[in-house]
Amino acid sequence: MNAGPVMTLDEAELAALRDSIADVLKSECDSRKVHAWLDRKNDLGPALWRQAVELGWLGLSLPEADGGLGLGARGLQILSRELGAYAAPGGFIPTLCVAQWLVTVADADQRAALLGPVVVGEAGFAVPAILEGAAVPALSGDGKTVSGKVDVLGCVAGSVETVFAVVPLEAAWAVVRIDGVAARAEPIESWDLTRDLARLECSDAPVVAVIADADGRAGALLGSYLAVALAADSLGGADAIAHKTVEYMKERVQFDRAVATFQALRHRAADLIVRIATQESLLEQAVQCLDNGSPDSAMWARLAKAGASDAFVFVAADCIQLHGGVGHTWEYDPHIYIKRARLNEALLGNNRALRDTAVRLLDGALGEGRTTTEIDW
Amino acid sequence: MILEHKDDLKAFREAVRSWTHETAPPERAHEWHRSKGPELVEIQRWWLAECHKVGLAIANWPVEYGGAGLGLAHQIIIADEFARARSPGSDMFVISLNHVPGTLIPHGTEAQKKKYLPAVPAGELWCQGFSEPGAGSDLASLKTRAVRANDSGGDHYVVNGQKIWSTNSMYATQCLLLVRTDPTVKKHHGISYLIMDMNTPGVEVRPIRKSNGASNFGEIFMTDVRIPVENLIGAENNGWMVSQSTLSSERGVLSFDGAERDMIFLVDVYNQARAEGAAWLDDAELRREFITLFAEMQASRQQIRALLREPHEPGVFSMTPSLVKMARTTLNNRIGAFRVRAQGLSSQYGDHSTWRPSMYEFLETFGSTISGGSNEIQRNLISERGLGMPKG
Repeated sequence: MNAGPVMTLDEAELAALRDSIADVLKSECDSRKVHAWLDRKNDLGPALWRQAVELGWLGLSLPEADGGLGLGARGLQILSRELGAYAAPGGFIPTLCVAQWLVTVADADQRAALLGPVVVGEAGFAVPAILEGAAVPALSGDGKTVSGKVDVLGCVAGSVETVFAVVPLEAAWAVVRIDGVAARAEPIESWDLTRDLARLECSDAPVVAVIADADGRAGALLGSYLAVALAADSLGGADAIAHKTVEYMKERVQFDRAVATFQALRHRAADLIVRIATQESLLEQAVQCLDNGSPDSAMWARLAKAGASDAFVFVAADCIQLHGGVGHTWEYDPHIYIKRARLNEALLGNNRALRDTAVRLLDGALGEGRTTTEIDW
Repeated sequence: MILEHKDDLKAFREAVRSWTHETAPPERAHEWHRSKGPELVEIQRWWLAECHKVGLAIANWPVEYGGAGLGLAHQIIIADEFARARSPGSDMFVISLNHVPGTLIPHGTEAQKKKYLPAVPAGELWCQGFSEPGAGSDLASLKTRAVRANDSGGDHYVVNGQKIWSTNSMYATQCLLLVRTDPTVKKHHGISYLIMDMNTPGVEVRPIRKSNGASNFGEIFMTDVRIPVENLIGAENNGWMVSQSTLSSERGVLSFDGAERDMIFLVDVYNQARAEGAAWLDDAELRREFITLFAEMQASRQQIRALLREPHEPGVFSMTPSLVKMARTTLNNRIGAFRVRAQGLSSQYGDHSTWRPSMYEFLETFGSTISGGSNEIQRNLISERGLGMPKG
């Protein structure tokens, strides 16, 4: 199952796109603004969302027929990586991933009703925070309404008029509108103040769309998009905090020299970069597979999320230590990243569960005579 | 023939694949995978000759030196298909096939190119005499001394000294040798680059026994070895600069071949475990560890492809070769460790008849985290030149 033909840009064009996104975030979402947002002293969340809509970021990955640019998983990777690097607040990951998923699993009417409002910035999506591994209890429903509770990752209040939530049913997925009455989202204050978690409670909430999923493939595809976005977000964050830490070490003087000159610390910094680079290459594998419609994309996407979020946790924690005492203050940046890292680690499904799924998928593929490791080039 | 399909990559791949299966049938793979030492040299020499008959031995060399001038895409297809078919490999000839042309084509004289390059596909085995007991990571401090003499034998150098970690030197007939020709100047400025015939009187090779009992490298002792001046590559005392060409020919393609084979090996490890009903498959932690290593091996293959695609401008620093080197070598060490633990006690029985014994291979991996620029040197490069962290 895949989203059909994706537009491909060459490496220079992709780099230009990446730079253009980074340039915007550098001025609109710098560290000072993110810190003010944590203390709720500015409107960074909604402001950034508006800007993203104006710049067409929400449609980067979607097919041109749905008002997008058609970049597929590659677009998801590039945008999520930069948003992760700047610890950008907002419900980008659930919105982008559900939209991309609907391209494949929804019919034409559903696409028109749900994707149109997203591209123009009127609507966003929420998605169950845990989709795999530990049993995700299905909500009850009769095809017209659903009832039950699920914790979701959603959108910043005030950034969109409408939030649609995807919720699990038995062998299907339902889309409901969070209307504050039949479907109420009670915000959960999470340690990561840049993302929005909520407890969604549905009582006979009207169903906007149903996606049948008898064989579980639709849910697996949603998981794959989330896995790729979370992996990219994690690597953007890991790379950013590692480089910020290196710059800090060049400034920080002890024993009459910059601490960056100590070989023990230089080697530790190098190890962080090596670790991040390996995971970037694993994510590359997952993105290629998703965009090629490879039968093994579900396996690679989950391995990428597990590896990247593990690496992010390791890097962010080490960066606290490498900063010295200021590393665990509210004023400096490392805490923003360790909190995003710990949330990413938990989202979608814990990394042990994702690796268990990957082993099962590998076993199945080998049984069918596929090594899963073919690379076109 | 295979090369006539070179403009159609798909047909080219098909042609390489069917030729490889006919010439080195996978059913015979155990013959080359079990052999070591001189026996392996002969198998690989046979394989090299077979490859050369169809133009695949030195396909990437320029046409004027006997190659087919094929680019990266073809090299990758060849390496990929050879690995997939579990063919005999050519790692014994790694210096001959890569470092020799990488050095001689840009810096050698016409006479040197004519004499040495055609001998490579015919099976001449070269080694490299760079490291010394006192010059490892700090290679430029090498002390092997070459003094120019002009006696009855004509113009030549008289060489005295010792080299170490010289891979396959016990089988080699030629050596790329770094010597000190001027001890009075700064260390990088007094080094020259020579070609040494390993059969010259005064050359003695002693194999080094590694921790796993195997020997694939040796020490080279040189006592009053006479090397003709015509064997100088580049100008006298300019050897350090020439050696950078040799070292940069290690870039990318060598690790590509290894990574392709290592990936296929990991697939074999899993299939073998399934076939045997290995106990570790029932252990969730070990299964997760395996899939993590499996994922990182694939990551490594992607990373090497990125390295090969990267524009390579001389003098412009890139972290990528160091990142690849560290990731690959530490991964292989972890895979070795995993196999030992997954196998349990029986991994400690010195039974060399089993398929690729885990403890043997685990010990083997400690060579690569040191050779080719130790991982500590790579960390220096990444942090100093890549991240701009100043030396103390």
